[in-house]
Amino acid sequence: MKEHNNMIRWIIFAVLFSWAIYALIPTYRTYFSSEKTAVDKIRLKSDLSKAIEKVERGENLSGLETALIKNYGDNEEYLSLADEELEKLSNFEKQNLKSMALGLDLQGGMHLVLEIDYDQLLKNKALKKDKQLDDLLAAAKLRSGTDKEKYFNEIKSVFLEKNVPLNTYFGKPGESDTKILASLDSSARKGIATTLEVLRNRIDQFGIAEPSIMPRGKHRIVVELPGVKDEERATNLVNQAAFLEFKLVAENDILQQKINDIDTALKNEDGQENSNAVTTDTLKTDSLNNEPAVSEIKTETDSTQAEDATKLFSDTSKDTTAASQTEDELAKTSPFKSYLIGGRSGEILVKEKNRLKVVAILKNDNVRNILGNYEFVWKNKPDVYNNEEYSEIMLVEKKAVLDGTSIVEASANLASGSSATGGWEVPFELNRDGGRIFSEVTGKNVGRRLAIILDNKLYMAPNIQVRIPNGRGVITLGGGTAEEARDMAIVLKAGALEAPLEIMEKRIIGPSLGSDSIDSSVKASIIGSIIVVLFMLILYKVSGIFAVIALFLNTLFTLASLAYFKATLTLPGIAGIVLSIGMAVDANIIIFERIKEELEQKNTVLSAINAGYDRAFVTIFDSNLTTFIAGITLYQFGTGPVKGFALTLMIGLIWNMYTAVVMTRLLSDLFTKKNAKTISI
Amino acid sequence: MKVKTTNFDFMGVKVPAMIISAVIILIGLLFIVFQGGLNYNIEFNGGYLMQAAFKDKVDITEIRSAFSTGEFPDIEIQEFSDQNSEKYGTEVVLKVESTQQDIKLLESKISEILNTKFGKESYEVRQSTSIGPKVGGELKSSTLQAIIWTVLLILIYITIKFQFKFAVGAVIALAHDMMITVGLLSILGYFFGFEISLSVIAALLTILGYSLNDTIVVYDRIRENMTKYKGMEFEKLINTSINETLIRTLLTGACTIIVVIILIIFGGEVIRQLTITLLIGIITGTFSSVYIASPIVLYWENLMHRKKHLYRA
Repeated sequence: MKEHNNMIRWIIFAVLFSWAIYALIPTYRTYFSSEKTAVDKIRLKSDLSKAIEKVERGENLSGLETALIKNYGDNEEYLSLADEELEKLSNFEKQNLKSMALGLDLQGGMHLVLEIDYDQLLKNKALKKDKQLDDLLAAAKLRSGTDKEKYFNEIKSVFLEKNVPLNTYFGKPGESDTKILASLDSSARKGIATTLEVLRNRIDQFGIAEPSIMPRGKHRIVVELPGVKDEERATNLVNQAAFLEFKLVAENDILQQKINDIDTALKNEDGQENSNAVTTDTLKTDSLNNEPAVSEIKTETDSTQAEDATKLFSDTSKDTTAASQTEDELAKTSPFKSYLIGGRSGEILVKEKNRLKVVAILKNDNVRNILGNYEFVWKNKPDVYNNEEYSEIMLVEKKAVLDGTSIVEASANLASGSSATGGWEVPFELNRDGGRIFSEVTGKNVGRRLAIILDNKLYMAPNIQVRIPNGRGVITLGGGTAEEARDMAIVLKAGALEAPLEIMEKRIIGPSLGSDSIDSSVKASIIGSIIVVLFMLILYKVSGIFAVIALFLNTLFTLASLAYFKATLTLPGIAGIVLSIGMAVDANIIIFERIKEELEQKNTVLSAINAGYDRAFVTIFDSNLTTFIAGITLYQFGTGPVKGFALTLMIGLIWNMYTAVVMTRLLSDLFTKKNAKTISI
Repeated sequence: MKVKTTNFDFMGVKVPAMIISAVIILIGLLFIVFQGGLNYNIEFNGGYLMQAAFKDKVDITEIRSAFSTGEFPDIEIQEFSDQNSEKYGTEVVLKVESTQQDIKLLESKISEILNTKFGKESYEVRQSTSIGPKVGGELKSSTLQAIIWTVLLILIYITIKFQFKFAVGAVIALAHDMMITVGLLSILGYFFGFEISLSVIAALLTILGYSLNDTIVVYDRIRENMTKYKGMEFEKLINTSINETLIRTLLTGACTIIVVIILIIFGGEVIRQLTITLLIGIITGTFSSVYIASPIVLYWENLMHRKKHLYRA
């Protein structure tokens, strides 16, 4: 009977062993053999093409790229591999040949924990924005602290307290607070799903080998980008809302009107008397002329540029009476306008040092009312004239004629020919509806400018010279780098993040540290294992050999399980394996000591072995189970590397039950004669 | 190897042993109070950490002076203990505790200071960690939850498998282990700047499991002997049981401790907090199975008996 049982057990062992080897083959191929998987080939081909492009453009190559071209540049195999074929192959590999993944702490990479910024989300969704809204939302945020769940409830209470119905800012007029709250809540939840989608699209295009973008809880997203090289770019890619809008630029007369109105309103607010220096029609104010910057900007010779700056604002460029006005007096007479300087192509510039003041003015409720359907937007980057920084500010219609959701295609190109600076540009293509709207808008507004605004920052505002029927356009970056252009193309294509994200946690492990960690942990594992092996052999001799074989199998099965279920091996995870080895020994020690005890009682060898295993099993089971419980809670509450530790510990314990008890028994039975008088133990 | 079962009177010295434990715990507590709480790292308190490897040798005082006049005069700068002298000149770890919400800003400010003084190309960022203030607080509460759940589940399991008095002994032994370990870590924190990090928590939870493991082996033998030697006085029974399992306890303990020491020596700095905590915990855990868990069971048993006697009388 026992023979029969043992036969079955050996068969089971054979099955498990083959499974383990099968499960580990992909890992071996990925990390130890030089044969490349399809995934590697794809990456290699992409890196190679990029390097070749760089050569064609005459750009400098990095050391890695030079080596790539040297080794593979002529290799027809890589250059001729069809992309679709490779895709298919790599997908097959990904599904069927599971290799063990290395954690970020071993291969290097970036780990981000993002949280939806509900505050900002609501502000974006609000029908109108004013100080009251800002205050109410801030109060709700303060009260709810870090608890996102409470946030929406707090909004309800805060609005209720101040007696402001929610439909002032959200939803449709007349809708009840509860209904609006419910729909806000649901769109917040949908926000996570769409955010995940958008992020995945972006990261996909960025070209990370095996990114992981997972929700955590109800409000957070964990992004892991193994092997990412440019962390800054990656962070921005993930973080950027990428909300693109096309807005018509206000016409000149309206612009002047608004500026004057603002000045008037501000002066009234301060209780200052109306200065007679300000006229209400054309901006004849000479204050601007006194800014030396104007004439200096003018000296930049560019005959192709249109307007003379001064013409925009005044005819009296030689007015000397105004020369005596000091800056303070200017500020009094025209509190807003005094900060504005005309640029050579008719744009309005603000000195960087004055920027905060202007921003404050624009936040003023009165000013917002005056602006009405218009708003000012700032240029994305300041310009430098004569060693001073200036930022452009432009008045545009608040309502966008088109937004980024209509974009279906975007790419990055070097501007061809015409621009002197030879910058990068992002040509884009709109979908059918978007194209139709674009055609209408451009048709109706020839001669006006159309501002292209990304994340509330102005990129450019080209003149609409003719109706654009085919839904295609170009955003010129006016300089910029290849990366900037490519990243913009990526986010435009992937879509905007409706829910802005806040970074809660960011970890970056450099690849050099990762490989150092691998080295040291492998060293520790090997030395630890050797010592344990010696330990067992010295203590228990031949029986010790069985225990050692069991230990080896334990490790093998643990690694195979990690590979088969595509778990991630982290540095603490390796520590967990080593610890498991130490603890696995315990099981065998319990068994062997028990057998010795039984032998001392003058029992036969066979009965001693039986008793030893039987009795010890209960103890081993109890003790392993309690450590397992600790592992479960660790797994539940831990993150990343700690989870890896808990996982290897638990898997190790489970296999330990099998290897330390069943396997050693099998081996012992195999080598112990039936009527043996002694055993080596 | 023929071994004669030892016959030490373990329970005889239980009082001195427990006193020693109490003293160690007290000292640890003093250190904790003295430092104003546990020495949490940025994972719990929020802040920024950067491990920078400079290609050439750099004097730490130079690095410190770059920060002394700015926003971060309290920045902690230490030399990374696993100096890889062939590859790098000097490797340092910079730590700033901050409750700054915008962690990108914190990171860029610190990088800016380094770049200005030393140039971006002169060092390599081996790793960096930015933790916002919210995450830290949540970590503390989830850690507490983890520990409570673990202890609870274990309590239930032991009550089912053994008896309640055993569970009480086990839990008190676990509490003892936690307190000694955390206390000793605080002492290390005072003298060597040892910080409580996530991996320390992982090690603590593992120790809970391991200590239990050990305790159960002793309990198992006590349980077996309770049926085997029905008439024996309980104190003698416990002594016998401990003596019988002594070899196994010492061997396993030795084996595990050696393995962890290897991990400490060769495993590298990155997991050092994990491994050091494990070492302290495993030693304490082994000890507590004998000198805390068992005496408690004994005391409980005597207490229950005395109550019964009182009743009858």
